[in-house]
Amino acid sequence: MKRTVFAVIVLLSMNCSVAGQVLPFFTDTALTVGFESNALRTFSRVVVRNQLRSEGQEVPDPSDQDVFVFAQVFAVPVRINSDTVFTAVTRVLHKQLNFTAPGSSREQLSDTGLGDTTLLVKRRFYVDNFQGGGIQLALLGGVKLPTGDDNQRDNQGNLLPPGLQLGTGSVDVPVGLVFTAFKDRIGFNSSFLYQFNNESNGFRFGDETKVNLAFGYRLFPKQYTSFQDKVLNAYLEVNTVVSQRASLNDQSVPDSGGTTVFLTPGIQAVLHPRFLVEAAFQIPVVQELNGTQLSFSPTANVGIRVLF
Amino acid sequence: MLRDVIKVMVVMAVVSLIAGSAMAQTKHVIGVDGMSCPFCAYGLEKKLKKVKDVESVTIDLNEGEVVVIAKAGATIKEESLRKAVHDAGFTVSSLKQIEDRSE
Repeated sequence: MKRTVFAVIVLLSMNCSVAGQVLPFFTDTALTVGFESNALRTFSRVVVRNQLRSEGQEVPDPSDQDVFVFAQVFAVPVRINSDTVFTAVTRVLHKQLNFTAPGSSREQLSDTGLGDTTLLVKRRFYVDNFQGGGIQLALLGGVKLPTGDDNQRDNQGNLLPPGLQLGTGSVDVPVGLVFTAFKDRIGFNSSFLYQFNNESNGFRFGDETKVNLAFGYRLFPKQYTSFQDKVLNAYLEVNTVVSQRASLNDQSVPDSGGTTVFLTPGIQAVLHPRFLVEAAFQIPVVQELNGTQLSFSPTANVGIRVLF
Repeated sequence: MLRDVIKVMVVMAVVSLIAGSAMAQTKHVIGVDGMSCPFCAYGLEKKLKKVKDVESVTIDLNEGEVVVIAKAGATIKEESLRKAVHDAGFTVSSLKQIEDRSE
């Protein structure tokens, strides 16, 4: 049971990672204008996992585990020049695992506080703009700093499992490539991201690959009457996360890692040229998780962006 | 004598006002590529308004055009406008200067 609990939480932490700033909710863009520069973005995210799966099949859970994670994410992109944007992303987390130990009453492990911080640089290297649109490509690179505590303990003084800690304790390196194409009411973004994860205290989360696709459409106005118009956009994203197995003291953790594909419809209301509100619902449509792990339930996300 | 001085001063003031209003006010029409949203336009407007001697900026998202009007009697360097558009993250597709005399 202990091992299952441990493995469950390990994967949870991996999938709490957050993509950088985006005009679609989770997909990065190659843009260096508007809300992609000199802005503040914050959003709330709720993740629930309570169905145990083994080799792709739902199985009974003798520990009746359920996981709840709340994250408040903050991202601040700052434009360095017309082709370069620097972004800092951090989050405040509450992680909670409820379970029933054999012969015992219901127990809870939880942790609340600041998580890790990611510093990213986006460098646009290809720009082909035309009236009302453009095609752009950018590289992403950065570092994830261990600003989150990775040494929290329970009431008995035992170290909480790595997946329940607020941070990984390691300095990790994300890199990526982003493509954006947009014209009038239609936009398409795709990103490929790879994160090299390092070890801390003998534990290492598996490297992560993220492939995102986002299709956007401006619902109204059909045509702008002024740039003060209120705007309503709709997005549909496909977010794929492939996580390699974690390792503990150089031994692979069998119940960790896997591939998850989310379908993410979203909506975005630009209420002022400097302010928008947005919401997205991530629905897991493919979950190929290694070993025995808790599967994902749909995830709710809601936020705002403000231009400086 | 005093009345004559006052009359002359009033005439000079009126002549100055008329002359001032007759000074040319230059208008620049810039074709801007890569602009498709209000928040994009906001950033561009901020950059252009910081250019020396700019009096007003009007953005037409549908046409992809920006009209920049200079202060009366002032001249805006085209290079400054091009740089502002570039620094804002967009591309200049065309740039025309039109002189507009007020009546």
